[in-house]
Amino acid sequence: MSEIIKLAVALAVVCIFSGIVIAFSHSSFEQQIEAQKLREEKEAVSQVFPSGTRILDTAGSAPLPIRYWIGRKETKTIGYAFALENQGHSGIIRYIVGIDTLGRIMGMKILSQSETPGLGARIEEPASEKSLWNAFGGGVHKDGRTWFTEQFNGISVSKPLSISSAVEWPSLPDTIKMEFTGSNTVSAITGATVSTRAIVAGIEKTVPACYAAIRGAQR
Amino acid sequence: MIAEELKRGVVGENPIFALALGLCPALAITTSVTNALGMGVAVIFVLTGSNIIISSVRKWIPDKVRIPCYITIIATFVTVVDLWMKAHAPVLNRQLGIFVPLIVVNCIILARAESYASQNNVRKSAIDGIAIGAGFALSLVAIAAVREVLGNNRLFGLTVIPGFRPMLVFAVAPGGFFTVAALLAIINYLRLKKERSRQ
Repeated sequence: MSEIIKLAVALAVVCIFSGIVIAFSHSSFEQQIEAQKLREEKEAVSQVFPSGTRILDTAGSAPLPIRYWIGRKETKTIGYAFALENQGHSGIIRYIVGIDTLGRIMGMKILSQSETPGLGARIEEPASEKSLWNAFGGGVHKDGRTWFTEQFNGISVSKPLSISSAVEWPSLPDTIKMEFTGSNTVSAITGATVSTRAIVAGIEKTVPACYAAIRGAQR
Repeated sequence: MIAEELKRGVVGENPIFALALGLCPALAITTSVTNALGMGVAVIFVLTGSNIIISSVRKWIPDKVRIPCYITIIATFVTVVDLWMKAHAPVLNRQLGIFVPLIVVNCIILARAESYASQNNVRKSAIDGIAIGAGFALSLVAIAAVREVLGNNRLFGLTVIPGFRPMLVFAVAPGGFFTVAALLAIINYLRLKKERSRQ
């Protein structure tokens, strides 16, 4: 009997100590994590607009249920950015989508995701047309561009989107790329159709309604 | 001594090719060399840290409840590291963030806590963590190099042979099994050959 109590006490001590350590580090890091998130969000928003855009943070004001930003050049509104999220294959994918005044996607940026590395996580794969042998010669510069999000540029959110899972975007010839954009099609990541669908569904679910609401409110 | 330990971790007790532990992350991560390196570095770090902690509390933990205690301690350590990276090291978090939570469920960490750190002093356990971690990292890179070239026609995310259509099966899970099995067979063949020549 006394041994059982001894074991229980030892286990309890370890658990209580672990609990205290986690609670303490959570509370001391919480603010910085939040600040870090906001900083990343701000940077992502500035990247979905063309450079030189003045960005207005609407900070959760009506009429939308999600965070959005308005981009202006001089006094003219050139577009909006929406903070979206959707359940991916193994967690929530958070991302920012920029829409111009004609309802076409200007840019997209993934904020956070926990998809399978090597499969779904390739939604953040760098856009690289260079081969290994070029890289030996000149070195590769990383400019933060990612091919998966780039293929959404020019896609209209007022029409339904379709997904083609035959060939990935970087392997498509330029003429087909233009055809894809014209027919509102994006290519899926091989082996990660769920992640691809999650991003497309997140856009279809939220953006058209929000876009219409903003445009309606301004008229 | 350190060189010997490293050799033991990379060759003699290689987590993947000798102990066959931690195969789940090895299959999931090894689709690209960059990922393999990221996971490898994260494992070296967490394994060293958890070995140090387990070894320093080993005398206070009753034998019968050691496994739940180790799991709790390792999970706590990993959670704190994860939170710290999110708060103070955003660049590191971007690179390793997706791997660190995966490590909690990595059986190598528990295996080393149970079979080494619980019986050896802190210094030895730290070296063991680095050595086994390095063995794990190198194995991941070896598997990933095969899979990335054959499955994606890429290495470090760069095209190897322009215009070549890769064998996609190597990029998905079955290809992972094929690669691990083939490498394991080659390594066992070489090992047996060496042992026989010694006799």
